[in-house]
Amino acid sequence: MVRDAAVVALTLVMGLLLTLWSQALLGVSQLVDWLALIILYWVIALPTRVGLIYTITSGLVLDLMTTAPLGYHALVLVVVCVFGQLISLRMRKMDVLSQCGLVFLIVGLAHFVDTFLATLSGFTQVAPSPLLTAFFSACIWPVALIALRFLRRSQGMTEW
Amino acid sequence: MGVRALAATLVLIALFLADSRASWLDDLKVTGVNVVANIYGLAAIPENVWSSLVQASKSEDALIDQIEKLESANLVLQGRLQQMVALRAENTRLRALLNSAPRERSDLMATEIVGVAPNPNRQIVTINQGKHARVFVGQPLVDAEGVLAQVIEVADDSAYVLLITDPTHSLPVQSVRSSIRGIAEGTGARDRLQIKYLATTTDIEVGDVLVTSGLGGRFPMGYPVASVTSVDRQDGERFATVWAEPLAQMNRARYTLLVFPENFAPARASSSP
Repeated sequence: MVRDAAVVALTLVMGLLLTLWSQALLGVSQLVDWLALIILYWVIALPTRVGLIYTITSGLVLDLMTTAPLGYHALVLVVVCVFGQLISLRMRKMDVLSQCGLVFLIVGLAHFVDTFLATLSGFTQVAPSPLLTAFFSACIWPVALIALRFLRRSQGMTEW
Repeated sequence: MGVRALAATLVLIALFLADSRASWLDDLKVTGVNVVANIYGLAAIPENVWSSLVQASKSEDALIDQIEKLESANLVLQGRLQQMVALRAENTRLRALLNSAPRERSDLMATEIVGVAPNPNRQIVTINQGKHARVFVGQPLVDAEGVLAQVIEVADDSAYVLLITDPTHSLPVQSVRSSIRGIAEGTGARDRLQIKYLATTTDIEVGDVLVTSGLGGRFPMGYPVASVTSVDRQDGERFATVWAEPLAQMNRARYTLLVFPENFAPARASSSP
């Protein structure tokens, strides 16, 4: 149980590192929303074990890392978590291409919330656009899915 | 799930509004930033390993050559510094003759940029000095070429700094040639500042160097900021549209200097310019 929690936490830390590295390499932040993809995978794969606590903790850590008001990224990721849990059973039965379409919708919706919160916070520049982030995140989804599924199976992590 | 998600959302909205509008969460945030600073350390590992490998792969001749170049550059700078000391003394004497207050001096402390905050809305980087080195909010950060940023949040051993090109950043500047004053505002682009509130009749030209004017009391006077790249004067308009390019290496700077006021010595090794 504790080991499983540590594995999920480690993947989330890896998500934060990927966010930093992609910013350093490409000079653009959040072109792919790595944290959203990782959270989405876990809430689909283990909906009864991974949920709001992991999501809110990750969001608050990202808030602290970006000097955003506390709750900003947590709210965005809660959107991903809630929608992920709502469609988890249906999404498991879909083929990868259909899953990519749903990932596009969920991440896109979450980033529209991001844009709304950014406007509320008084930020004048919102880049990249929510749809661009959603598109690139959907493109990366198959890779994230295979890598995280391999990790989960190798660690023998099951829902119950 | 539904009730829990709704409750969590309401709590997060309250937290978001509280942190956006008030400052009572600041101490808690500093504690949090101390913890998450380790993630920046983790993220820097591959780059540090790569730098070490590049350094290790350099031949002895290349290193000797590099040292010689640095020594000669240091010699030139030492020479300029001597001249600067004499000029400063002369300037102090002349200001005394004019009954003006002596110009404020400042101390510098070297620091390193260790990460770029992954925030698409703001241009923020992290440095590896914090409260333990007496870094404070509002402190200017410069590189070898000019003003780079100012500190906005301080943790124990790290701090977040806002680049002058951030759209929310404004900086009072002055032209070296004509002494005209203006406000340099960030545009969100790393290579562009807009100089605001300059009347169309103002004496400003392409190529003019802008330095900090010292107004506002946050940035000391005389640090280079930007060079004017375009001036557009439209008939009927009250203000000219003036664009400038920052002199500091906004994208490439790694080693930078924190500027301390004269009577606020940094806690670690420092040097006077």
